[in-house]
Amino acid sequence: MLAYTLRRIAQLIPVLLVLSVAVFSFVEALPGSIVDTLVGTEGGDIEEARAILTKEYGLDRPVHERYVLWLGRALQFDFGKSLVTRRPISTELLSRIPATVYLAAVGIVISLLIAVPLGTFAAVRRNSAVDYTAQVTSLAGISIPEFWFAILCVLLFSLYLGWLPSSGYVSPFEDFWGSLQFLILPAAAIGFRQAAFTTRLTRSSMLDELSKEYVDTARALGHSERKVIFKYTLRNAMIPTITISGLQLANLLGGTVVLESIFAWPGIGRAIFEAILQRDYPLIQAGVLVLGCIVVVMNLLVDLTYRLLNPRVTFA
Amino acid sequence: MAETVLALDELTVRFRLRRGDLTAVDGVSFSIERGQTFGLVGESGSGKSVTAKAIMRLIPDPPGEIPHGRVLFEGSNILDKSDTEMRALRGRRIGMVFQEPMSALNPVFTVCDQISDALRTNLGLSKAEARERVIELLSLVGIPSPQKRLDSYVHEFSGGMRQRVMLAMALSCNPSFLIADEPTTALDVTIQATILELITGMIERLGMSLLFITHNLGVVAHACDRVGVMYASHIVELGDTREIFANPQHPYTVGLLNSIPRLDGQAKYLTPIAGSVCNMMDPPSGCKFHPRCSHAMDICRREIPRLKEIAPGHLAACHLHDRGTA
Repeated sequence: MLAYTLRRIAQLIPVLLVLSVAVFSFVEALPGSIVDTLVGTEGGDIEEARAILTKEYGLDRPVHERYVLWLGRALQFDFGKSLVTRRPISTELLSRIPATVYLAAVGIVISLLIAVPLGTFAAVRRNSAVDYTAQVTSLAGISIPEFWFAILCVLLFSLYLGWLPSSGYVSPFEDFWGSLQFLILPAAAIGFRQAAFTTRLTRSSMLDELSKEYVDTARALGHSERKVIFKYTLRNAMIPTITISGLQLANLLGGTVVLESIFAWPGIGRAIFEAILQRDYPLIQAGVLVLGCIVVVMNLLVDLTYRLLNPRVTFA
Repeated sequence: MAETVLALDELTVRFRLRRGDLTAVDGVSFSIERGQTFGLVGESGSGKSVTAKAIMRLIPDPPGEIPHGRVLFEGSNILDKSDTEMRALRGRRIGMVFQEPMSALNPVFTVCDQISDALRTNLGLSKAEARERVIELLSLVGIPSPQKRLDSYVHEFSGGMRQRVMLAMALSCNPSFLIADEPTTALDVTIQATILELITGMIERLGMSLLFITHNLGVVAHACDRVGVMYASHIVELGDTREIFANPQHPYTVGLLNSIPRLDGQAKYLTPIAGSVCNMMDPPSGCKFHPRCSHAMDICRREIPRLKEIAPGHLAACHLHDRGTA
């Protein structure tokens, strides 16, 4: 287990290296340079300013040297300063990460709380009214765009009913209960959307498992139907659901740009979105790199969790 | 006369499928006495496994239903019992061994977890007591160093060992009656005999009764006191094993016995029964076996033959016996 984990971590290194090259060279490939953007805002002799700025940003050096320099700093979580706010990018990103994690984690928890009971119930009561309702609802959930659903939620709960604020963010570390009222709408929008996929998945894998013989074995041993389903069958049926939920979480941590924009949620996705609008290249670079790392690490965690759920997986 | 443990009385199981009704078990009656081993033989699809599941009340409804018939276990009808009463019977009074241990054992729980859960639920043992009992059971069924194998998962066992685990599980709560549904079919031939001997040995040792379901006549000859031969949802012949092997009365039983390959070199070719099993969605009229029977007469196409006693304790369902010409 330990050897496998270490080997998997070692395998991440080349992936992350390729990612860093891609991120670096994509900004490098953009027409113009940071200097052009900056020079316009500085007064005085333009050529002199260019020369000073070029030297300050190290742009007089060859590309590979600059890459190594950039990577070396990135490893120490130093991405330089934002061109717009002039604040260190690392503090900028660090302040955004908790908001994204908070939203994504609660969103996935909501989706599992919907999907697992509903999918299980739909499978056990196959072809019942509950089953059809669950199937139609999840089909709708897959088909309806997330942003549209989110806007409708805002209309209903914020404008018409006035129950919840339409947008904004309060850190849960400052005011936990206060943060919840801002969290509910975006997290529910995420939860419903993701549950649309996992409900169907849970239903079909539950149906699959219910037809297996070990279910009858458990019944033949005198266990109650509830135990047969919720202990013996569900544990097997949860394997695909948990795997997919883990990947969904990785995706959500990669920033839910649209939802974060609708709800003015100060997450990492919105930070990158704004940086793109303002051509804040170093921030884009750093943001994409950090997101890439999060996704890759999440994938690793999903793989490792898989073993806990499914003992048949061997770490060869 | 010995005490009857299990008696089936005109048991009928039907499945309502989209394509129509399918009668998988049709008016099956037989009884098993205490300490006896009863073999139910038949081809795939003859209804023998459905019979076993009906005894355990494991027929899913829908699509399955039991329109009539009784399953008397120690005198009371299983089909009338509530779910709670049925649960008290399963595991504690009737144990069941399935055909394919790999799929019949839960892949994500350890062997100890699965068996001790049954012990704790049915016998109210503590966690530690249950664990001790699991070790005892595993060594009883011949699993070497059970202390080490206790916390293994099913996929970590070999086929024969898995069936031993399955048996330990079925025997865990001291049932007096065991149903073994083709317990040796999924195993290597070399292991089949070992498992067979293990099962019959345990039955004898624990004074249990056994319903043994198989398609293998050799296994029946070896292990069973009495035999019921099933063909297309009916019991066609019923009697003591010796009597049936020595003096088979139904053409199907005769065909089955003739189709066993002989090792004494008398025949070069196998003697199969002509034709194939009828389509149960659209069974032939009259005797279900008549399209394959070389003795078929007019009456066979019209009337379903009833089981009749042709010698003490030996019953057959064939029109040939109506005329006294066996």
